[in-house]
Amino acid sequence: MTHHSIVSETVESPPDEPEPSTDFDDEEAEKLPKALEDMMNRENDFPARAHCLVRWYGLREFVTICPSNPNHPIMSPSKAKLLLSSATIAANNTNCQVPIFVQVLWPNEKMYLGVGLGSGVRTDYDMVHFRQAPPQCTHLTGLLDVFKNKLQCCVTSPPVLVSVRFTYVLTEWPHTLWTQQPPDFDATLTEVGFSDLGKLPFGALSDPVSELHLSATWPCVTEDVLVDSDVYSDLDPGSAPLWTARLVTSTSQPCLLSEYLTDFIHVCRNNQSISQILGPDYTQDVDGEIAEFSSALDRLTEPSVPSLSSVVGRVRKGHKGARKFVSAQSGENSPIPTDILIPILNYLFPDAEGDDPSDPYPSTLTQVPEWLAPNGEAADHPLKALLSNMKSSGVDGLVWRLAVVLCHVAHSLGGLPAAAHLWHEVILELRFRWDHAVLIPGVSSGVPDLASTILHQKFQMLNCCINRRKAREQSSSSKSSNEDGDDEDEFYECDEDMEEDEKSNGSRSSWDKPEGRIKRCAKLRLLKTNEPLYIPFTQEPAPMTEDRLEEHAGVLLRLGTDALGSQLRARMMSASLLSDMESFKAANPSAVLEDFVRWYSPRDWIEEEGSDPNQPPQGSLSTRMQIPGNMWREVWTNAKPVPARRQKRLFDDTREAEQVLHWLASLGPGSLCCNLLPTATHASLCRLAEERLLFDLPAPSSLPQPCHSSSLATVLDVITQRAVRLSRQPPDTNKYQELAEQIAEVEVCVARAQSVRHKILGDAARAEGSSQHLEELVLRLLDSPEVSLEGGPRGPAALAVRKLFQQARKASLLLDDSPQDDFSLPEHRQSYGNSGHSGAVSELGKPMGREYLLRTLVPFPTAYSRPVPHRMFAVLLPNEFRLTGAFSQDTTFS
Amino acid sequence: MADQDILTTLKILIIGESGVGKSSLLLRFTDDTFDIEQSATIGVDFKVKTITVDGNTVKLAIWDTAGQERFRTLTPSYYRGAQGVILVYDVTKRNTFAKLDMWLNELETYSTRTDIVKMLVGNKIDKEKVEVSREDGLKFARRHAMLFIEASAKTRDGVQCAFEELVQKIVQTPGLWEMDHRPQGSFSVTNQRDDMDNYCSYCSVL
Repeated sequence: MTHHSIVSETVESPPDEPEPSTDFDDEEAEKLPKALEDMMNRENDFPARAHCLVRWYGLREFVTICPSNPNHPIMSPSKAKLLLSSATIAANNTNCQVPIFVQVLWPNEKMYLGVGLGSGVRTDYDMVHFRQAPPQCTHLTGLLDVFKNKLQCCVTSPPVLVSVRFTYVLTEWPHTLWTQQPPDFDATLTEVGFSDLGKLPFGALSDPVSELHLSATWPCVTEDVLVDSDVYSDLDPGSAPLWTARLVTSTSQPCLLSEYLTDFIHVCRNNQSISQILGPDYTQDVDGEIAEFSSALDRLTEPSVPSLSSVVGRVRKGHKGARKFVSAQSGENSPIPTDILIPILNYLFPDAEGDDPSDPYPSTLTQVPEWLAPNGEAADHPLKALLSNMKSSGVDGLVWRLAVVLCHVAHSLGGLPAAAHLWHEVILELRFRWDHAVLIPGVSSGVPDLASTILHQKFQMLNCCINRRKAREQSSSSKSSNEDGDDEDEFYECDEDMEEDEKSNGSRSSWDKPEGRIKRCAKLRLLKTNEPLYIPFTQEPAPMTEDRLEEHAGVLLRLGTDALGSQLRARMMSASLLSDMESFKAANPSAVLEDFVRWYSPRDWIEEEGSDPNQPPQGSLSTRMQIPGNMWREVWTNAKPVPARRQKRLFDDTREAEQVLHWLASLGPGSLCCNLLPTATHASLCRLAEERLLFDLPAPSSLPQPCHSSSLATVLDVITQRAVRLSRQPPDTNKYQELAEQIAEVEVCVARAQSVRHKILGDAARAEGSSQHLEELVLRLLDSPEVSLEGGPRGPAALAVRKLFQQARKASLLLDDSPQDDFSLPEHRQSYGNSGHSGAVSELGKPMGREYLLRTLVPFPTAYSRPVPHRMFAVLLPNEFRLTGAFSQDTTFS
Repeated sequence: MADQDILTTLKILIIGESGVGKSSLLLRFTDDTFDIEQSATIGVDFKVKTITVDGNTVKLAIWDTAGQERFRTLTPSYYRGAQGVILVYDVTKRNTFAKLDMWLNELETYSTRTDIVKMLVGNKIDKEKVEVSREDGLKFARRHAMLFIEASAKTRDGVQCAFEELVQKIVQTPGLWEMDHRPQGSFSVTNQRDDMDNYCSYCSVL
């Protein structure tokens, strides 16, 4: 015989109890072992949440021996006995007083045999387990007989102490049907419009609270106080001194928000391109697209026709790609049907709808949505400080909406192919806008904001290009009459008006006539000629998105840190200096480097004191500017007088725009979603925060408390902090998945709370001043595994719980009746229930579970033995009966 | 120094008005040299140096920027991702001190993070004609929650210290430089649930 099945020994101690101290004084040697004390301790009678052995034997410390492989349980009694006796010997040898249990039979039967030794007392832990209870064991009287028979005790022995608990289960909630809308997105989209499109859904799909258990307990009374036999029982829950309630929540509850997020992350894991997913029909014409300049301003001047058909028409006639889409569409192949696609596109590009779009973008984009304090006043969003650091994009901007819509698409509109299809359409729209110089809506103005996501930066960049292009085209059209605009595209155009300058300088020869002046530079005059010094129009530096900037910085970094590298870098950076110098020379034809420095870097011009303001000032350049061959002087020498508008453009909007569009088109739906992950998470966090209930809730006990704080709001803060941190790193789907799981956890908590609140408070949840103690009851039910109802069966909390039972009972009795009839009934029933116990019994229905706990202290095995503790526990369930006994015997005086 | 010994690479910016000695401070720190004829920086330049502070070895990529107003349309794009900034003024020129507010504003606008560590350095304390007192500098630094030191790139005074203190503060600031390897304060949901299953009759009798 081998011990092959023994592997794990775990010391289990109930969660709430500190580890019992192990020191054992000689004085206390005669004391009963800790295990026996626990057995008789009334404090541990019906633990809310504990190991089954704790429940059955009242133990607080024990050792279990179970097979390592649950598929090979210990089936033979002889092996079980062998193991148990080995354990007994081991315990004896080590003077171990902790009871040892061997798990036998299949694990789900929860059968244990155990033995405990110590202080000359041996306790055998035994149990029987049946499907049906034997008739004599179904009531207290019968169980008492069994207990006394076992102990063979005489009548004069001390009375048996009895604890009884009846548990009633409520599974039906007829008056509070689960109100969560099913995620039938197609229906709401096509019928109601697209009001749901911009919102992430929230809440559990089915009721997260499955059962309410109500337990009526008679704790520790002597056997003669209660009568409970097969013919009569005075165990009426209404008379029980203690009522406790417990919620049973459904495990792994699917919740909408986290499901959407998870499906979104699922799309992220794909790395195919659009055409790989949808076929060659959806190939983007990245290079070959020729802008239709003739219709460039058509769309701006077009009268707005807000009907959908015109939008379809606009999309279709706009560009080649769309026609392809239509042809594919005619074969009913496209993943998103047109009637759903159009509202989505209108939601993303509301200005295409006409002057009065149904969902315009907010005028400014912020990091958090508006927040109203409970009193209705505007207040700071609770996540404002944290989210301000989030690398995402503004609330309800284009990127935000794209992320939210893609969540819908990923979850309920066809997943990956649909995402590819939508992205394809979005890219077509963006190209259309570039081709027709129409700004992209829902994007922050200005140069790419490096604190936002790369996608937002790219959109901003595209808008920069569109703006430059519009400015260029406007000025070219206004000046085309007096300028030969043959190579307009090659040169930068400024909106200056030069006529005045030309008049004032009419005497000059044409080659060095000043060009591109903005205004005089204070009172400065040129050193040589004493003419006024003019500030020139200059080229704006090229805006850059972070990826381009990174490339650029990378090039600079690769040049190394030595002097040569520095010089090369300076040369690279000098393009803008050269451009400025050329503009300056053009505006001030007779200027010298000193003049330029006086405008550009005034601190490098050291002026002699006391010079005549009407005379050219006397002074010199700083020493660093005088170094022979320094870059400034060199660039100055090479600079030709060219006004900014005729210089080579530092920023080529056409090339940049094409690059952005190419970048976008090369993103597959998976990489697109990866780039949107921070924003989708951002939106989810804001969605969570919309559930005000969240801020009242304690953190669930299932989540380890993250910062020694027990509120759900701090859990949300911790999640947000992590999201902010992740948003600054390259997207990692696994980390976002973890985040989604944490969000799910919070969502379940809130959904659960909503459900309980709705059940307990009913319609009063909405009414003002709903009773304080019921609100407290809701929180306590959520917070702790078991709640004792204040005031027992007649307390206000018990009344609310009774009401629920009554409603369920009523509904089950009158299955066909309309439930509205019952509104007046609860009060009626309550008074009835209060007036007589018999009514109260029926109102709770039959108890689902009955537990009887008997214990006594009598000498065993013989009358002259020491009195030792004995405990018997019976559980009666509809399909299960378990009788567990811990019977001790005095080993010294036997 | 082997790469694996390096805790992290930090990006440090040096900003301030033109001619306050930004490039000289950097050169004194990285190469321990001083050149009176340091030419005016065009756009941006940078140096790399590895230092050890409190036993942590970090690699610094220090970006030196041009102070001229016109370059200010160009240089802020390089502020991105910096964890620390050294803001320099010239103690002998009051107006370089007066412009500090503008620089802080600039930093706030263009740096991509709000928790960037800031060090104020009053340079050129070797010169006799001082226009900005130490107290003024200290007061300004306090008001804007910055570290502060007076230094001279010429005499070495305070230069090493300025960089070391900055790095020390960055390394001590949680979330500023570390990646989300094992995030503090995060919690795992799944393990917990397994534990609960082990409590076989976790929910009472039923």
